[in-house]
Amino acid sequence: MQEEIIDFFRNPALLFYMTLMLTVCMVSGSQQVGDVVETEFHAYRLQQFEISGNMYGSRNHRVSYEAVSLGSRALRRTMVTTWREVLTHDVDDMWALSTGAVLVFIPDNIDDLNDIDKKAFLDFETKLLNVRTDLAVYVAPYNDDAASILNDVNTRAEKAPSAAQHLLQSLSGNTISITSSDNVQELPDNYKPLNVVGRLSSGDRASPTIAFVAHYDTSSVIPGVSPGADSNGSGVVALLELLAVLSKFYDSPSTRPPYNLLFMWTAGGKLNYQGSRHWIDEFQKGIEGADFLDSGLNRKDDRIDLAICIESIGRKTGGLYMHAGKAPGENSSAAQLLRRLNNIAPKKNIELVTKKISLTTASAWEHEKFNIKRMPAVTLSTLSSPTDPARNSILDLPSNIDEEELIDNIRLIAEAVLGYILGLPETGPSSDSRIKSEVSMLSKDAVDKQRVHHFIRQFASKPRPIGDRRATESVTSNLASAAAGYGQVFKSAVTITDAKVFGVTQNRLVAERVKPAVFELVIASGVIAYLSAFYYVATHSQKSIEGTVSAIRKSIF
Amino acid sequence: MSFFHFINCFALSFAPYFIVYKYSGINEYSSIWKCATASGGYLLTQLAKLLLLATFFPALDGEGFSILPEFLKSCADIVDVIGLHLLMTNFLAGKGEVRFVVGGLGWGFAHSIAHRLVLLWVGARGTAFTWRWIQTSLDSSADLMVIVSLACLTWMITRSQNKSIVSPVLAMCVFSTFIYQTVQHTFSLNGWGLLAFRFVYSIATALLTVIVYSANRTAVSRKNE
Repeated sequence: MQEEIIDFFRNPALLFYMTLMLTVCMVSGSQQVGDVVETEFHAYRLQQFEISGNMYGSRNHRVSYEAVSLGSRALRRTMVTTWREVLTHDVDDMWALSTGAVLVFIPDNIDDLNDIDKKAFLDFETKLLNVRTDLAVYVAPYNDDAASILNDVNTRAEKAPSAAQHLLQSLSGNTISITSSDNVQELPDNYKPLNVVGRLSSGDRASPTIAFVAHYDTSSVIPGVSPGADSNGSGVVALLELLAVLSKFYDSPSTRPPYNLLFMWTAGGKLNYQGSRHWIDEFQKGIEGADFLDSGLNRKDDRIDLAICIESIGRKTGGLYMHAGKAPGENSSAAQLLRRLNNIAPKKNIELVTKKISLTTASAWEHEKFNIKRMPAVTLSTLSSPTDPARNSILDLPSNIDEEELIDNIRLIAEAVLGYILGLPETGPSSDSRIKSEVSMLSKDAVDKQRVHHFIRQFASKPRPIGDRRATESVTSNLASAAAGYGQVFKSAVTITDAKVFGVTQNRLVAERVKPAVFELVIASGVIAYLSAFYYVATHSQKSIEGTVSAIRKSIF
Repeated sequence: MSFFHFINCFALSFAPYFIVYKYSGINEYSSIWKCATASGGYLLTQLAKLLLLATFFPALDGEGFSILPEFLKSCADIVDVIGLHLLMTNFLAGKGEVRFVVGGLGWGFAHSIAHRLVLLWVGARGTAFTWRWIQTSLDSSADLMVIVSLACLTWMITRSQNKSIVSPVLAMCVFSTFIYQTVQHTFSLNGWGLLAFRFVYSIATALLTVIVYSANRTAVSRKNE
């Protein structure tokens, strides 16, 4: 044994390998990196989704093409451009190309755009909104690297003045090749985002249920960059705050109102309200279903009295709108809620907007999903129309949220709902019009400014598109743990039907300066010429060195 | 850039050694096995050098460049001279001239492999094009001249009467890496500029070596007379 070990160390090959490894390690460790020829940056992909078999957005996410300017349209190239160029040029025929990619640089800080630019940016979004293309389309924030890439690409696009220069350029000119990293994860087939449901129970078996609903996902033309602060970050925040405020009344049996409250943060709202649809399906067939408990319903005969969907209530638009499928009947809960809202805030412009529900197209508002299944529901929003571009814009940034307005609206909704579930008189404690004093069920600070601020930071400031699995999972688990402090929390996985989600909302792109393939031949001929010269010198070396030596000896020494 | 680029750089780095061996007449006097022995000697010497560096300059591997520590570090290159001397006196046979050319050639080839092969394999196959790999490969020819000169001078230093002419040129060879580094940092030379300097320096060293060799031969022949 001992002999063997000693023999092993005696082996000259071991020594050889060790020295070789050490030398190689030292040498390659001490080399410094030369001038920069490649840069890596984060890019965000154009939306991609499918609803009712219709594909929207960009169908590809792989890039490994040479960069060219927007003007030179060609197959298997990356058209590199800025958002302003896209806006001013006619790019419709570009989207028809079958292979290739587009890289658009957008301002690195969208918040800093002035009003005119913001308007232009909205136009840019609209232009991308209806794009259906096979190209891989990415946007990236503008920076110094972007400037140098654009500069290179545009100089190359200019025609060389003479034929010789043109030839030289095509032989040795720098080109930029843009490659996407291949190790991006596409969504697995069994990917299911979660609905998070918080529940406050009245404890009474027969009591009806009021559901607050807000979808938590965001969407825009470029899902990876839009934080969706108002739509629907404000709704998520409002529901959390309502849960926090109203849970106080459910703390002790004596003050418990005779209504169950559900707070539903639903997934896939921007994808035809998948989360709500799933919940309603489970609710209706769920009498026997095993998932029934996950939906936040305790008993089989739970009855939804009203579903109040909340979306975009954090912006000052001069009003609060109650959207409904049709005008509610005089004694319906929706009508009562509207009257109460109006009575509590007479100065606010609170209006009912009705819009007929279409069964064939995607739902405009979340309440329509409930209406279709004959459940009473309304949507509260500061937006008057479902087609408002602000609902799906990158410009829906946290800085646009008016916290005062949001707190105001949350308080208003809380008061109205409280009045309704506690059965207080609609017109206030006294019908005498001479009494002007404000009456409120809630204390002045019931809606906590700090808490709302924190919720906005946590839930309304980061992009959370449904295609981004990590963001979605982190927002649902954060929501569940935040809501667990105030009530019972249930989670249920949403099966997406009649739609398809695609991943890769962002990717890493690498831009490298490369030479054309022909240039390698030029180098090869240079190498051969050098080696032939070397050969010539080597064959004559002996003679010439001997000659030199003897010449020196004769002349000098 | 591509595999083709790697091949180009590979040829540029290592073909000169092959050409010198094959066509300068050395192969008639010595076998390739002797060159391989010289390469093995190089590796062993590097191991000794590494141990020395690790013992005396353990913490100097930081960033930045300052002359004195770098100079002290490059003093370890004197080990090369000792290694070459031992190699040529003990392991190589034949005429003195054949010994130092073969020794220098094998030594230089091993040096080139250790310094360039991995770098080229990692770097030159990348997509992005840079002239850096071509420059690195061309450096190898300059190194060849310096190392053969180094071998020649090492051979002479123990056999020459007037060591005073041999030793400065030998110092030029030994401290060549240090001089390149100093020039690079003080004049912020990079790329082609540095390459040109390396070639000029190597050719100057080689010419000086030829002159010193001639002087030595003259002295030897006078003594014989």
